[in-house]
Amino acid sequence: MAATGQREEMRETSPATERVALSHLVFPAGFLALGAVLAALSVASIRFPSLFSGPISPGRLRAIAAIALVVGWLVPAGSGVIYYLLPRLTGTPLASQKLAEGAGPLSALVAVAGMVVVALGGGDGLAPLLLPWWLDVAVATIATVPLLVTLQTLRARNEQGVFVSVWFVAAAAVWLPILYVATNLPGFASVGRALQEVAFDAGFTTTWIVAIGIGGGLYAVTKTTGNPLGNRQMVKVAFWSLAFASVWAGPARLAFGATPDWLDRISAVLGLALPVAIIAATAGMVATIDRSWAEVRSDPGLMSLASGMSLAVLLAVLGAAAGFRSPAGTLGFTAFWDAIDYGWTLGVATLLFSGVILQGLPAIAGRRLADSGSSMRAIRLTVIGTLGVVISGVIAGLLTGFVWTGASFVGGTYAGLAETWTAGLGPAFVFIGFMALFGVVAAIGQVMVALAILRTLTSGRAGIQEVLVTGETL
Amino acid sequence: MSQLSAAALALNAPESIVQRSAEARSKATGVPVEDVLAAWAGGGAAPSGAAPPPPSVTPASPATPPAAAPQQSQPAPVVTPPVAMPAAVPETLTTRSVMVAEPVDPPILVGRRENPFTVMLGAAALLLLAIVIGVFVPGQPEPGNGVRTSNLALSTEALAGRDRYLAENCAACHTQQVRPIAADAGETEKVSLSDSNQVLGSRRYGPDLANVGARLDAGTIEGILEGANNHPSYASLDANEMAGLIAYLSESK
Repeated sequence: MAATGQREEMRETSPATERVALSHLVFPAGFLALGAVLAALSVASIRFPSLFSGPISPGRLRAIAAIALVVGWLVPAGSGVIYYLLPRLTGTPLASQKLAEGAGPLSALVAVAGMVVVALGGGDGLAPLLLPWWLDVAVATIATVPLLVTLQTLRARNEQGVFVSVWFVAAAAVWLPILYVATNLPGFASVGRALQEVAFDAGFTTTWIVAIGIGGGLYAVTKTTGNPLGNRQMVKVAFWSLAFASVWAGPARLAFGATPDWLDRISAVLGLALPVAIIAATAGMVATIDRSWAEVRSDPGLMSLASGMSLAVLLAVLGAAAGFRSPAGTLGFTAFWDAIDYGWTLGVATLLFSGVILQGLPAIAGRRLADSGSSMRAIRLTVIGTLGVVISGVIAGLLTGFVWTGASFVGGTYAGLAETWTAGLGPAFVFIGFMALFGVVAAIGQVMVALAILRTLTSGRAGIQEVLVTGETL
Repeated sequence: MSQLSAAALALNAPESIVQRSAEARSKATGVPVEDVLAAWAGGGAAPSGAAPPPPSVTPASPATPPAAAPQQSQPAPVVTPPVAMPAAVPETLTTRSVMVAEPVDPPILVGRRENPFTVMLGAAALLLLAIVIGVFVPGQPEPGNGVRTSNLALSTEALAGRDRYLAENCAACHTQQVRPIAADAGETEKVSLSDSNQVLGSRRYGPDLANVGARLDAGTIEGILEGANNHPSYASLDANEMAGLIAYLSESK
């Protein structure tokens, strides 16, 4: 650590700063519960298509669930993590508090509007959100708010030493609007449009979910255990690997299809940066935890973070391995990628974000977790359900690929199977049923996580509250 | 009047909080609780030489002096974090009184002196580069760049149907890109991709539809859209929307 001989302290309570963080961390949890249920229905709609039609047809349902999760939950909750960390790590109150405060309700409004528009058949077809251009503009605006707040807060910072979490959350703040605008630009069709879609899928995972999760996770682990950061170099490797990974895990999904061959090769190699980033970040966290594993086992926030990072390692390795040509040719278009997407959006994101929230909420709100035991059960259910979806999906993907490459048990070309729904998947259909089943288990866990967050604010007992005081040099 | 009462009176805080804070101060500084209370009752600093000032009721009292004393005993100047100071809150939530207590965070949430804007700039540059190389360049359908293209001349009704296809997110379950693998062998003689008319997709639970019009007649397509072959029913679409969708699929050859 560089020595300055100065001690910076924050001296003046800044309740508005905390109110912004609190509202962003707590209220979007409602959309987590809603999105989890919709996502479980969406998985079930693949297995039982005849039960879904009209406003909840499989295509619309998938987009509605994505809107609830991305616009309603992940963007505002991730922003909340940024607003929670920045004042604590920069020694200055959050800048542009009114702007940040307004973005929260706007996210909820846009999410509801988007869900209604898509349910009524007004989507524009650009997956995964299908939002028409005017709602895309609104989401892009919302996505820009954390960037503006971060830039201004960092400019006014009192603390010159930058804790590693700031890298991740500041980068996430700059990445999100770039990604959203670039992957929703009009004027692309066919191949360009398909690339925009897969780039958003991969990029949102990498540059928002993982970046915010690692940034918030490192802060939470360091603070809760009281141990100094275990390995700064490892975290640095994680950060720059994440930056290199960015959207590259996306094009692999289109390998052997319409995209140029050179793109398949580049994306396979650069996609390896994602597991490198996550393994390095996990190693940094483990080194920080050091001998405090007992705390991890008893603290719902830390347990959630540890589970989330473990799941992230699995998904990153699976995704990167499937990016190379041979496996990509087998797994492309199959349930494998749905399982990976589900794992990131509903497993890793839920666990990492709620880990940070469950750690930070008592400090901000001055209330203890409403029910630690229930929170632990929620985390376990989320892990079990998500792992079930992922494993079932991976098996389904492998079986489908086996069938499609012609080595197969039954299945075959749809043309030879009277174009019947999922007939070409062969025995993989059974495992898609398991995906639906585990999706329900995961949804129960995710709803319980959301309730644990909300109930802490409504019925948590009074506890130790952090008071941010703004500073002067002593 | 006891020292506790006198201290509580001097600090304008409940006795229970003052007692708890005095105990915390005593534990932190090694000064007996009674001495801490006596010092507070007299309105002065706790008798530790370098002890922090007495607690004051917040929120937001700009005059609240910082608790900085422990730093004076450190052998070398160090960068300490902008600590978040825990405050003891009364068990009842009927009051919002908060008392600032000793900082308990170790000086661990600090980093090296560096410019975060450089990090942000580098991160943004890498993402932009990836998007240009990975999305924008290969997304331009020029002959010879490896992207297979063709133009389907769709009727007006079929173009409207393509928009309906997009709005219904049919691409969530159907691709429109035939690949050189066994499962696609019977579907077409050659990959046929339009610059603007086809929706590639990246999931295939139902058949590939790149040239479905060459395999199925309009009546069969309509039957499937209404729920045949275990397909989800789209019978709720109005007549124009259904006709457009059928035209689009029938003309995709």
